[in-house]
Amino acid sequence: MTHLLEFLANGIALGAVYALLAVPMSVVWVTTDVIDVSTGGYAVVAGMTAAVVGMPFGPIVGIVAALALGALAGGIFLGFHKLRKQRDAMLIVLATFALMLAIESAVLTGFGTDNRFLDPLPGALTVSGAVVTYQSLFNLAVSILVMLGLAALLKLSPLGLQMRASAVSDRAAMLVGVAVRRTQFLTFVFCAGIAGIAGVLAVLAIGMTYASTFIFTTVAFSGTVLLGRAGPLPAFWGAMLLGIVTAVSDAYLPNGWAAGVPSLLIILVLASGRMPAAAFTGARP
Amino acid sequence: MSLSARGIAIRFGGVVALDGVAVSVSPGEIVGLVGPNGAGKTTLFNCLTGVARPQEGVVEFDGQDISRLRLEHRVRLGIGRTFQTPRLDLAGSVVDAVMLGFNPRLRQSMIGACLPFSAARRNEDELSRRARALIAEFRLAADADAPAGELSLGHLRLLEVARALASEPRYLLLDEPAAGIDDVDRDLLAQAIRNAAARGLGVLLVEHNVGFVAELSHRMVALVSGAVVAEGRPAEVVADPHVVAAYLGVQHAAA
Amino acid sequence: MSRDVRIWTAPAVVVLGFIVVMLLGLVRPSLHTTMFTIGLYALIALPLGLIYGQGGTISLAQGSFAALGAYTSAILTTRYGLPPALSVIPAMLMPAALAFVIARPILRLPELSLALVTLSLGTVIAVGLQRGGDFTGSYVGLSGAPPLPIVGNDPVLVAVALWTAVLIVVVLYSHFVRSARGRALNAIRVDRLLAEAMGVNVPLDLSTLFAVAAGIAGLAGWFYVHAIGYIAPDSLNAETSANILFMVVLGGRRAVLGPILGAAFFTFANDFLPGAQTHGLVFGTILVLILMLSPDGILSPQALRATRRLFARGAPAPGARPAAIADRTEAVR
Repeated sequence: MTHLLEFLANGIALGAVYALLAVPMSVVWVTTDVIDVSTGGYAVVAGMTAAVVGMPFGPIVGIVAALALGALAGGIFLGFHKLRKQRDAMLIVLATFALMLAIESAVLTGFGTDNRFLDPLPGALTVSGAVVTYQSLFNLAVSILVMLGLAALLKLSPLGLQMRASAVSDRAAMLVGVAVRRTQFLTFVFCAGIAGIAGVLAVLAIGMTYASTFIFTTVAFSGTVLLGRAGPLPAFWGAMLLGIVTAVSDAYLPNGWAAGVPSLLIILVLASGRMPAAAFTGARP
Repeated sequence: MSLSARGIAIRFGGVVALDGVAVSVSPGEIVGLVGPNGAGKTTLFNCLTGVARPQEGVVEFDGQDISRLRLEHRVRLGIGRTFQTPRLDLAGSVVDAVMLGFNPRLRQSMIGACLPFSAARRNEDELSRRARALIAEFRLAADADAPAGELSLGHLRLLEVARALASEPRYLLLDEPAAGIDDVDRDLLAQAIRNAAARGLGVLLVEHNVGFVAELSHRMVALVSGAVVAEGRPAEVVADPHVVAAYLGVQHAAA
Repeated sequence: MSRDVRIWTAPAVVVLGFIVVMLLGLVRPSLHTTMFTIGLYALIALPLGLIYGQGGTISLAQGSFAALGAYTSAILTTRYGLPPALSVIPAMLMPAALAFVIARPILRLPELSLALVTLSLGTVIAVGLQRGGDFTGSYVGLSGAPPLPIVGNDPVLVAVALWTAVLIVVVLYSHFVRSARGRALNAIRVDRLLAEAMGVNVPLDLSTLFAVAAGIAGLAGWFYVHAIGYIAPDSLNAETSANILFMVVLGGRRAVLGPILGAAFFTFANDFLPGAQTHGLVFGTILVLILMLSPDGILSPQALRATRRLFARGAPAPGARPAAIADRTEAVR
């Protein structure tokens, strides 16, 4: 029983990090119709950089690096819209896929194949026999804070309003004077930053290698679609659920199978047809 | 024998698009469907073709209930349609566009399509010839090998009609084929529709230009706000007070 | 009639190119091995060209389907003593069946989801292969697979056998695009509703082609495992699928020869690039640029049309010219 509690606690802690991957991906998705496949790359670059630079500046440098890559992705997005008049997000998604490959390769070249860690917060709590590390609690706290900050941004700030307008219909938003392209660019940038935070938390809690790039992207997408609806809130809960499912599978399934859980869930959710087709094409005027 | 819809009711969210609508077209008949914007003409079209699923109502093809059939199956039965905005591969040639129209009547297997020296290959020449003949009927022969994107809107609409006719359907559904085209092309279109009806096709024509439809149809149906307000001979429908009110006298000059 | 001749252009180029390179290989034997690699990639990439270039449907699972084919054959030949000449059938059928089953439910959704699901499929297959214990050889893989039937281990003969398969696929592909089915697939890419209005059963057609693509990838896997002798989870995987996509996009997704050109470029470029780690960086960057500037790749329809016009300068298109003048004067407004 204590074991289950512990796995649940681990799952929630894991979910907290996953949420910081899934939520930015879903925000970019609803705002730009693009699934940013390089989300995992931002996290890994931030985490790796943080590990190499070390405390206390590592995390900041890492997140800045993530922001820079987000700007690159945003630039690519703008480039597509300037050069091509197509309404098809597929090419841009493929481009973010190519970007992920490039980032992964750059990380491999720069950091090698080693598993990287940052020393986590020492110590742990014991709650009804379940051991919960302070790092886990910290991760959860950071995740919730970021979510609240994001919610505040979306609901209260002018940028948030512009983002929501762009999400409903970029054409309509342009017609009423919203600086849609700039808004979308900024969305790419700060969502990369959020993913960067995830990367820093991950390198503290579980460590990472260059291969984590693709794994984190898969986790992000899995959390995003798990509850069958596009948007930051379903993504948050989806990621939490994914974290719990992964932690529990890791404990109860034979060794190594848990790695396939996020991917398997993607296939099951999308194959079941629960995700409405409209989510993939966005609203059109 | 007819293509008909009865008791069609369809709602999108809170909006009632069609409320208890019935329409039918028989072989050799030209039926004009008119109504102001938002009346539900295209929605009714979509219900007939299977693009939209009404919550109530029945669609029948020559007595057979096709309400449950999907678009591609209805098309194979013998319904040809055009779209309000032409749907084509603009990069492909005009001939290829028309040749696509033969698909509903073809039974080509995947394997047959790949093999050299097969029936599929011999068919290609035959289809190409028939496509060019159709294109010539619509006076588009000059552009036959040009990319479809180079055609004017009027020519694109004619091309869509040619493509719809390629599958030799029993019923032809045309969605605003005359919108935005000039007199020469419109006359060609009218002639093509009359020829089709003379050959035994049932033509259902949705059109905004009441004058054009009135001149062409054997029978007209007027749709306003999702309900049929008038039906019968063109002269009667055009004069019907509900119809006149709905159009606010805009179409006087066209008739 | 000119249509008929053009159907054989691609196969002719393949035959000529093959002969030329193999002859050069007499002077430089490593070219024979290179031809094998290009041929393998070509076999996996050509079907992707079909479903993506013609059908607008991305599959990022081709590499994994090839792995399934390789593993199926490796297990059947090493564990159950089946000769490779027979194991080729299940090597093709197994991935094809899986592809068909998984395609049906998700092809109701637009290409974006299929792309991501196929990517996820690759992960699940990889995990399965790695955790398969003795059956799949775990992380180490399986070795000791018997050589290819008839051609054995001779690099020249193996290349001939492989490229014969490639040639057959090219011939079938060339004929397919110039058929009613090919037009139907093109319509699916341009506008699904249009395709349906032309009587095309979109889910069935796409699932079938997706399965065929997987089957041909399985064939490539069979060639791989019996020519090389072993297979590991990393030999053919999601990374391979990504590279295959790169080849198709670079070479030209709309052209029959596009994937082969891309495969050749990729293979030769690999030899010139320093270290395997930087590949992703280089190919990823090139891929972004191509997608932005010329998504139809090197052998784009525009480029092909332009070269065709260059060669056909003397001969006018049949029938079009004389009618033009008469029609134009009639239609004068």
